[in-house]
Amino acid sequence: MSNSKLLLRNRDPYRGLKVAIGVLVSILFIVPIIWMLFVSIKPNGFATSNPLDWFAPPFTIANYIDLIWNSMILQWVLNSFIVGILTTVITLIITSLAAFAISQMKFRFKRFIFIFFLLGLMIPGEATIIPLYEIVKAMNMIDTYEGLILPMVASPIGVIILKSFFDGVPKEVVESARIDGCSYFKLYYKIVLPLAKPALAAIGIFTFIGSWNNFLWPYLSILSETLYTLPVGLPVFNSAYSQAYVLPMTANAIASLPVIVAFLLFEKQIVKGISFTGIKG
Amino acid sequence: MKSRFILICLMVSSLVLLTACSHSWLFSSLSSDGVNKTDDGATEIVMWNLFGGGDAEFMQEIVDAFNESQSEYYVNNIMQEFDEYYTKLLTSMGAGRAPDIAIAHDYVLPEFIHQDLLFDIGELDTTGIMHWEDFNENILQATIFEGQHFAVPMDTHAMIMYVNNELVEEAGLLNGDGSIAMDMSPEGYVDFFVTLKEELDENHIPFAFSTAGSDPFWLWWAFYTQLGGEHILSEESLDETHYMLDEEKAIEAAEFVRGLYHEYEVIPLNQADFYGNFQSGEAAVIKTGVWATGIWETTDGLDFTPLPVPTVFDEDGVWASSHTFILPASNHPNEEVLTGALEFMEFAADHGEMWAQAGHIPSKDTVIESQAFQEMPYRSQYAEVADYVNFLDQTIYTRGLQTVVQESLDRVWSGDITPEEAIERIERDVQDLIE
Amino acid sequence: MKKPWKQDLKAVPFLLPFFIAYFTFTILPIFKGLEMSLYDWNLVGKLDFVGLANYTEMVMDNRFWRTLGNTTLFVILTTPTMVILALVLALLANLNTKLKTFFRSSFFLPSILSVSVISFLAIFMLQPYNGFINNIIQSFGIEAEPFWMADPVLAWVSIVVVTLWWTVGFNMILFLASLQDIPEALYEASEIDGATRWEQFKYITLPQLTPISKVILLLQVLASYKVFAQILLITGGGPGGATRPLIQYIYEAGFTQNNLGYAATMSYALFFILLILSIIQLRYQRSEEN
Repeated sequence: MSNSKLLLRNRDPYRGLKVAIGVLVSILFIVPIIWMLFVSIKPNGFATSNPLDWFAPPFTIANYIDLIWNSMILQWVLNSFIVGILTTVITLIITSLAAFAISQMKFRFKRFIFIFFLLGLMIPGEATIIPLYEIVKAMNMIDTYEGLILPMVASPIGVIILKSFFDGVPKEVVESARIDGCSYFKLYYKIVLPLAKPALAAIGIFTFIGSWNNFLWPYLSILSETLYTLPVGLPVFNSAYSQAYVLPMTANAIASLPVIVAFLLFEKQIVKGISFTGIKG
Repeated sequence: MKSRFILICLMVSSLVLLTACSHSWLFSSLSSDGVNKTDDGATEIVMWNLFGGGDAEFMQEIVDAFNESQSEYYVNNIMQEFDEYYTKLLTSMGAGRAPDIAIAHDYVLPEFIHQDLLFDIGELDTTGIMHWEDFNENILQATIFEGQHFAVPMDTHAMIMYVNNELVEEAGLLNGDGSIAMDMSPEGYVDFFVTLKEELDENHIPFAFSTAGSDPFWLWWAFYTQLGGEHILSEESLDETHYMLDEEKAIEAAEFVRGLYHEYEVIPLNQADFYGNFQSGEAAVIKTGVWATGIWETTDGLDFTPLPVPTVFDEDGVWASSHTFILPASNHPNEEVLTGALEFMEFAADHGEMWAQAGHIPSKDTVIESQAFQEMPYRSQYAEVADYVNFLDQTIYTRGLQTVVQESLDRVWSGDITPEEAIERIERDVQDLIE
Repeated sequence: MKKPWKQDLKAVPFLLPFFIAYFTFTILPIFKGLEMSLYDWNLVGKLDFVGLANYTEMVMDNRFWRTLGNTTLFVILTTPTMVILALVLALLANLNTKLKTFFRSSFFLPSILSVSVISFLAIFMLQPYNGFINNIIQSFGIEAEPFWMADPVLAWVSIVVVTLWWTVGFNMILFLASLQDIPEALYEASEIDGATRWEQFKYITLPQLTPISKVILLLQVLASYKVFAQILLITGGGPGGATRPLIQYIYEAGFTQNNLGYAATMSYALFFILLILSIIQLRYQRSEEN
């Protein structure tokens, strides 16, 4: 049986062709990114009409030095990190606290509160961004880090995923801890949270990528160049009257390298995260 | 595991610390309602400008000169991207984070004044600071509303035509006296470019120009006004206006510009960088704002002549606008900051010859008549256009109007719709806008 | 038995932080938006009460309908292509080869890049005269100079292709996970019955993927209705407004034209479209789970 299976499953006459197509499509997908990295190390002002010239020497890292010294790009990288990390940490803390209460504690109106949180899934942020702007303005947080971070932390999907994870914690563990006089906070911090690490990691990664790439909200709420995040700052390099490729591509590369590295390091977790949450970054 | 946890905690806390630090630093650099003093004890005045490239450098030179000329005030000059400039300025005014001074075009003044967003300079005590009598009367008029000064004009900047002397000569279109051989009629205008196209080899571009956006809109406006068209919107009062585009003339002007792209093909479509095409000596002619003068004259080996946009129809007419200084209104105006701002605005207008290095035509007659300006090359060849320039209509809708008009005209330039269809769309969209 | 309120009180510190953020930044804007839509409201603040005037203006506004039409066109163009492409890529990444991880990483890599990065990559690659793509076309000896951004049809093609390239990775992973969940026994049984590979794909793989396909389809419709940033950055809504999506018009009405009241009104229209779509989606997902 197992022999015949192996035999049959491998008997695909088009397998070679399919793999070849796969290789071709993969290359098509990454060529733009590789092109960007190559352009970023070409001498400034380089232009050619032969596509292959981009991938040939001379190379230089002068553009990187130029941008790092003479532009605000490092400040923007830092801003993106600050906003991304704080958004992620705060999101994880508040969603896990709420999910813990709903999963493990007894209180009245629990069902009502959970449904109230679930409603958030149906509220598209893009469609409420104009009134959100007015609210943040009234709180005097336009053009501040707080204004960038706080509106992005209440993630109902995070509460739902964590609640279902916490629900899976064995009843006996929880009950014996309670009998030993363990407070709810200790239970949350010492027992339940460590068990939910995979879920926390997935939510954390998505929150961070989402924040790193968020465009619309920083675009609306930030006025000062010193507070730009990368997505809002990058267009500055693409001024209307210029077609110089090299510096804008270097800026793009600087903005992309951290996430590309992070992706290569955490690919497994990211892929797993998508398949069990189904959420978009 | 534990050490990694500690590491993350350390990272987060250092980042929080960093946030806090950069934040307090941020507050000191933002113009909040209080007064900021520099380390030297000078009062800080925050200014936003919308310039890029050469313009930005010359403005910075003026600011530096002002800061060095006295020790009481320090102007902090902050450059903003032009694309989002007015949006940011309005947003900052709404959020109470407006700068003390801002640069604004003449055509946005009605919009700001209508919403009470500007200091009424006329109500401030400007005796001994402002010398209104020095200004060019026409330019100054564009900043006065209901008899009050709301802005200090810095320049006029018109669209002009630059020719590459070598290429035009090569095509046999340069007269002995250095003027260009163009018959001042629609046919003569077209002939000039067609000759360039025929005489120059195919690597050369007769006319470097964009196929979308402001520049073709300005050229259309020039021909529209040359045909006798005056307005798109009427100017009864700040918020009272109606649509009054002269359709026949608007269509004729659009048809004429369209022909340059599609019929005579003297403007190659969708040039990615038409400034670059002229700067590199590939293009024989370019039309754009006077600010390009400063770019061309610092380009090695570029032999060019600036000329007014040719009058090919009945009347002289050309697009122009004016950069002005405004004082955004604040809930807590500070006497010291306001006085410093006024001093700076007068200083900048008075040093118009510094600003003219970029190519702009200074706003003060006293500057134009000065030896320093008269001795500058090129500028005098087009300063005359200031006498017949046509500003866009002064209404609260003019900023939005340009977007919708350009949107329909862009489709004519790309060959997508006819001028008649475009003018129909423009009427519909502009009516939507002003209702 | 303790008093119930004492028990309730213990839950408060756990719920409160999330509740405050959620209420202030997710729930409150819905009501604030309703208020704003009834006023003449600009960036400086509230002006006059205008009743339903903003709503009647919206119904009469050509540009509102045109931009809503553009967004809908984007949804129609991207949704089916996205589902099919994601499926094809997932099948490739599921091939029994050593390269499968490489395939998966390549297909997914663009998804992690910022919208600004992918937009400027697109702009520079698609430039006329000396853009990378046009030069490649010409190096095959084809004498063509397509104006990717200036022609309405090509501009749509560019935006759709860039969007597919950028976002297909997520959907590919969702398909891939489902593919790997199909019990191997199903294939084994069919092989004993002598099914060909095409028959296996048609009668086993496709039916097994139907539920996830529907989820992806609905998620995609929802996500596509929110399209904004890549169009703003790549074509700016041009040429001549041919690709301007509704959210760009909302942004321009609010922040460029300084009419937040009207922008909030149009946001409400978008809100209801998205609300209905997400109710359909959640309903569907729940019925699948039961």
